Amino acid sequence: MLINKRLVLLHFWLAFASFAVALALGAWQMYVRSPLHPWIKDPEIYYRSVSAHGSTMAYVFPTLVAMALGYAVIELSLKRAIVGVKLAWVGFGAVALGFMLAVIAIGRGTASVLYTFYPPMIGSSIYYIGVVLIVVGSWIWVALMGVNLAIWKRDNPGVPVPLPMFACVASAYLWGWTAVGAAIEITFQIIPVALGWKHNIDAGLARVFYSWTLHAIVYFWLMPAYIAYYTIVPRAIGGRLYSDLMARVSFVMFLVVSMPIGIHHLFADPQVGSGFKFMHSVFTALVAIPTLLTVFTICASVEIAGRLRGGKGVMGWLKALPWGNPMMLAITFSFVMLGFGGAGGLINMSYQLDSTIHNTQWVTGHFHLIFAGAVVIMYFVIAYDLWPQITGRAIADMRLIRVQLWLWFIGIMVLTIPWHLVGIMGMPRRMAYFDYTNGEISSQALPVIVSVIGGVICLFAGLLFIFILVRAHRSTVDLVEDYTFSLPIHRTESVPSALNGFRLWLALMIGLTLFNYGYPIASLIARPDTSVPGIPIGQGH
Amino acid sequence: MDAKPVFSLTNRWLVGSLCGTLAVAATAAAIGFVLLPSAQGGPQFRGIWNAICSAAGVSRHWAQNESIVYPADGAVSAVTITPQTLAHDAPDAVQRGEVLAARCAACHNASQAVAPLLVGQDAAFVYKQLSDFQSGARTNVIMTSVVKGLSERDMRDLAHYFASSGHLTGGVATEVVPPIVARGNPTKNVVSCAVCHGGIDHKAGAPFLQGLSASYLGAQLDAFAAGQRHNDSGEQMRNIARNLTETEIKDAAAYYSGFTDSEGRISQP
Repeated sequence: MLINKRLVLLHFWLAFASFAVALALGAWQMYVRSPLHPWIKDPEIYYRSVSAHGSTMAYVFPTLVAMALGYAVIELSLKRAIVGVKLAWVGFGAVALGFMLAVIAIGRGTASVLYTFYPPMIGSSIYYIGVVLIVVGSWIWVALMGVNLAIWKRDNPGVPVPLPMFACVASAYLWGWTAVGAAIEITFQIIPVALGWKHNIDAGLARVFYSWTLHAIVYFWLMPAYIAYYTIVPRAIGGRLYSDLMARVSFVMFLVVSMPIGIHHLFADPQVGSGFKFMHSVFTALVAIPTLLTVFTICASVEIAGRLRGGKGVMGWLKALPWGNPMMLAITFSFVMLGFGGAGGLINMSYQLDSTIHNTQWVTGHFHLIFAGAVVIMYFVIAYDLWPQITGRAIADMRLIRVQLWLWFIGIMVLTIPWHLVGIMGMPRRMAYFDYTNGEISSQALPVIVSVIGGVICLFAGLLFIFILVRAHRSTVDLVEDYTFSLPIHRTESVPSALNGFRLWLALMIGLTLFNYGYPIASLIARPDTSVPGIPIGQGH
Repeated sequence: MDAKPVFSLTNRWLVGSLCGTLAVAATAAAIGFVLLPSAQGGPQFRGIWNAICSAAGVSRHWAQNESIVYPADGAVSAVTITPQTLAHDAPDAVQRGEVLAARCAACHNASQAVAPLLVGQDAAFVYKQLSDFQSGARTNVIMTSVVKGLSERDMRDLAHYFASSGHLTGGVATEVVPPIVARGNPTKNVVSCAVCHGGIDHKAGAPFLQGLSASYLGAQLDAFAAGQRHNDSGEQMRNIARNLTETEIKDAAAYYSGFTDSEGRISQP
């Protein structure tokens, strides 16, 4: 039973409201740089929009969803109120205030630096302070997740930590450590220049710090989806989780191997040695292990559901699955998109293959397919699943939910597949304008137009999602059943102590980070000749 | 529940995960730091230590004839422009600058065939150019000697004065905006002139171009392209000018010189 409903609800509402606005901006961007729209005459407006879209979708939306899910999981899985609710509200306030500051700075045109804010571009200090506040707010959540787990373990010695709580704390620790890179970059490198205390900045070092955050942040975005795979989907479709232990192994592996891999974003950067690029490439490949473990375990769990529903034979269980159940649809769509996106990702992470698509629209297509596709569709069903618990009102219209999930899936596929294609054709990313009458790129016009159609479908599906939540929220109060998470086939009576806590995995995570990042960072800090003048953005008047 | 301590060599999870991680790290390091760099043929990669250093990105002179390319004829600009560069100057800067500017008027107020107009020019730009003339990062037969006696304060005050002395940007275009000014040339990675130099947006330290003469603008773009002028931060203008065609340079120069001033006159060539 949820006790602090308002806390969870407000996190979700701020997340989804910001998502809806950022989604509209995204669709607009697709449209105005397509052949369907003449040149908007002001690239600043375009980059302002990209900065708002990216900052919201990367820092605010997924962070708030992870925070909401974490708080809900504390109460629903540990069956006790959150310890430190006041601090949780402070954290929420910090995220909301930071978001507001960042939006103001971007809206005024003083922070059109995109969400990656790569120096030497320097936006208004207000923007960076906003981002820092968002991170600080989320760190409060990280601390509260750890504290709540520790208190529960103290009160329940020898009892295995419930899987949902274990997974949420893994997600929190992953974020806590990965955010350190960008936090160092912003605090010690960017803000002093943004405030005018310093004029020069080591752009190469800043990019290395940012890469520390940049890759593991996508696993932080992914975590709620994986938590839903393991702890919600099997229950929702009437099955059992195939293996509780396998789930724990996957989550701790994510914790360890998703950190020391960010330099694969810097394959084209000259300031990092090729040996470190290769190391990071290898560790990126290791992420395939927890991903494939998850695909195997969840497919097995789904098969259990099919067989429990009377499915027989090699393929018969597939037909017996509850295809009308939104969760069944969502997990299917999510896996299809994860499959395509993961396959594309193999190219991005390969040191040599990356050079064929580096900084092209392929990359933008890739992360939209994985994040907006495979991950966000699970955010939708997490919200649908938790909504009755939070609002006390059941969602009656399953048909509309199915339509919404179908539309999102179709929208993302139509959006991202042509996006990958134009990337292979060489279309660069981060451009405000393309002259499609130019013979060299005119063949890209058609796939770009198809992509815009996908963007519009996504916008419609996103607004439908908000409509479903609002309508349910405004309906009459209903009797809501107690919430349960998936049960494993075999009751979890005992787990190895290494998989009931995080000390070993945190030690490995930090150790590997230092090993893979230590020398590149130290050598760049030690070099005296690597700074360049900062280039202020949007403050030339 | 397994009650064994986590950090103990009897814990197979610790031993297994540690050995697994170390094995992957050691194998990857052996390939990435020794095997792959050793496949390079050059003498500087010979030997394990050199291979490791090259793969780690150790900063050293790898090639025998390696040298960093500096402009052939002098210093690199050390001035960086930020929104705060001229923010805290003395309140009487404009008046003081006006007195100093009496020396400039003979050329900069005369014919544009002699020197570019500075009326209403961006303050940070004027300050940076004066500093660069003084340091030698930008050279000109006349200006190099004229700026010799100026103090830091003089240069800042002159910048404030010129910025406040009129409206270079208020004119009316007499030519149709050419594509290079309006949207650049994206396929050649050239951004439009108007996003930095006014019109669409103005970036800190970028000069306003409206009303400057076609011959001056054309000469500067040619000088950037040839590397003779090299006081642009991060080679911004050199990279752009190198990618411009002769027609694009002519179009941009003709467009900006075609602005009327406050009295309806068109700039002179």
